[in-house]
Amino acid sequence: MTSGTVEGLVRLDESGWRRGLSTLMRAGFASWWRTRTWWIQALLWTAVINGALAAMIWGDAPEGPSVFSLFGVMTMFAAIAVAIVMQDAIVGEKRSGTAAWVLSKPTSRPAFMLSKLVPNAVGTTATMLAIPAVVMYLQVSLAGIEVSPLRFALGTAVAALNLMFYLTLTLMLGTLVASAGAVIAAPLAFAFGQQLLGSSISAVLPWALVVPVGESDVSVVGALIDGTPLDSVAPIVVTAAACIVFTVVAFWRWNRTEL
Amino acid sequence: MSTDDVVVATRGLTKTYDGVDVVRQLDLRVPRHSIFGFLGPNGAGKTTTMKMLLGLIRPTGGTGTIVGLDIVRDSPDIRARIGYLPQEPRFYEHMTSRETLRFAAGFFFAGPREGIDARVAHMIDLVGLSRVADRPVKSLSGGERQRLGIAQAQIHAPELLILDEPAAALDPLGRRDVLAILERFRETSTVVYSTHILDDVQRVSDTVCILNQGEIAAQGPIGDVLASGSGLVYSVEVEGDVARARDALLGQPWVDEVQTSIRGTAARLRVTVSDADAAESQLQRVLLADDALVVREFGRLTTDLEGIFIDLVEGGRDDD
Repeated sequence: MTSGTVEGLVRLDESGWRRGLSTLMRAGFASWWRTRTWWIQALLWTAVINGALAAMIWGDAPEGPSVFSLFGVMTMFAAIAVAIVMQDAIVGEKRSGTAAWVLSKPTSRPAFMLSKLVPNAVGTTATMLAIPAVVMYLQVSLAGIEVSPLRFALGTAVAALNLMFYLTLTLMLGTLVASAGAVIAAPLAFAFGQQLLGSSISAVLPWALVVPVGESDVSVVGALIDGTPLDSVAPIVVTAAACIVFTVVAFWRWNRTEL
Repeated sequence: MSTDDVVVATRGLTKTYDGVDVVRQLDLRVPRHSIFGFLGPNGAGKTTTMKMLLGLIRPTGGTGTIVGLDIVRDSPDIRARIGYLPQEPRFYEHMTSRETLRFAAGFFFAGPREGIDARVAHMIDLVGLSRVADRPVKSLSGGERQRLGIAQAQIHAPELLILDEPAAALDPLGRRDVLAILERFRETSTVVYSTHILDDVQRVSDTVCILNQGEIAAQGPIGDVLASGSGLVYSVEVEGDVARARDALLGQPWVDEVQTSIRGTAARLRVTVSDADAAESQLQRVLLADDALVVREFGRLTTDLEGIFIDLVEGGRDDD
């Protein structure tokens, strides 16, 4: 064997931003789906979301619209959990040195960032929202509450957008600051602080996606699932735009980070 | 030394943080197939230099090449050809040692799977981790973690290995094993490793660079560096008329000083010279010209690396 070659092995031929992407993606997905993480999260959030809804559905006054509004509110807790789960994705790896180790391999920084964004986005959405939502759909069906599968999927997708807001925000903060405390504190402060900004402002923020704001008694998620007209699409547009901005800033900053 | 014989070359490599030069005007030259000991006290700039070579930190000034590739422009291509062991290596804790090596191999090899597994098994065997290969990384001891670090750095048989303090956290047996592993890599790779354990460097390195306060204090083959520490000094043990021998030496234009210490019937002369060639060819002859004098021992003095290191580092502090 000479230096740089290993008998019987084919060298990987990747270049540009895709360099190292396949290996990093495999590892990123494996950290969710080949460990206990996925079923622990899925079990936990299925129990939390469906437990709260079960109390309403099978309790005294099962009301369709209220059930779906409550579903939206419960996904807010999942969104906060996303920020907690994600706090370590960048800051933890910067502090422990695993980021420097991985980036000493022939891989690009965008590939590293994608491997934090995509597997975590899929993992959190699937385990903290999609699986609990499927169970919830079965539960409301059993309770005889009529709901269109399409509308239900649309409402769940908007709840997922709220999750992505906190995921990308946490990811971006991880590239900007070195303190894990700051990375987790900022999303939490924002999550609960939105309601203090006044109903006209919070009505266009991610908060309005999952929690009724002002005089409205239904959130965007609740309205979509119920089939009632939306007061405004502004929170959807603002949240989607914020996700894009956070992601762009995270990639830009990560490219300049010294490890 | 031709360009082909040099694996790492830097010119004026500088890194500045907040106006302070952490690494200043570094001109490194690492010969191919050498074990290059990178020495310096804590904060000398060793890790910063290594990270600049790896592309993890961007130089403020200067240039550098590894295997002829630019350390800034061609960083991913360079990283495909080098292996790196960080100081206090940390890996993904949920992975086992075997999975960690498979993960590392994934950056270099497309397959086949059996071939990668065989390579992983070979590296596990080489660094003596077979017993714990399928245990999660978080359960490994410091020494085992270090061995795993060396294995992952060497998984793709790189042309250059950069190891940051590979033996710092190890007990004497662990250090011995790591040094033995490094020596095995000499045939196929060039090894650059930082350390402050001078004894290790003297045992395995053939080239050294002493870094102090971000600047090179000494660099070159270890023999030259060791010799430079004592200046041009020869030690001669003689029996006979020592005073006459001393006068004969002081009569030579290339002899600066002769110190004498008497040991029983013999005497040891410490001869400081200004011309090594003249001393090598004439010093013994001058003494042997006196038939009554017996020369029992003759040789050039070298000091150990620790003495040189302390002189250079403390000299640097005195300059401040």
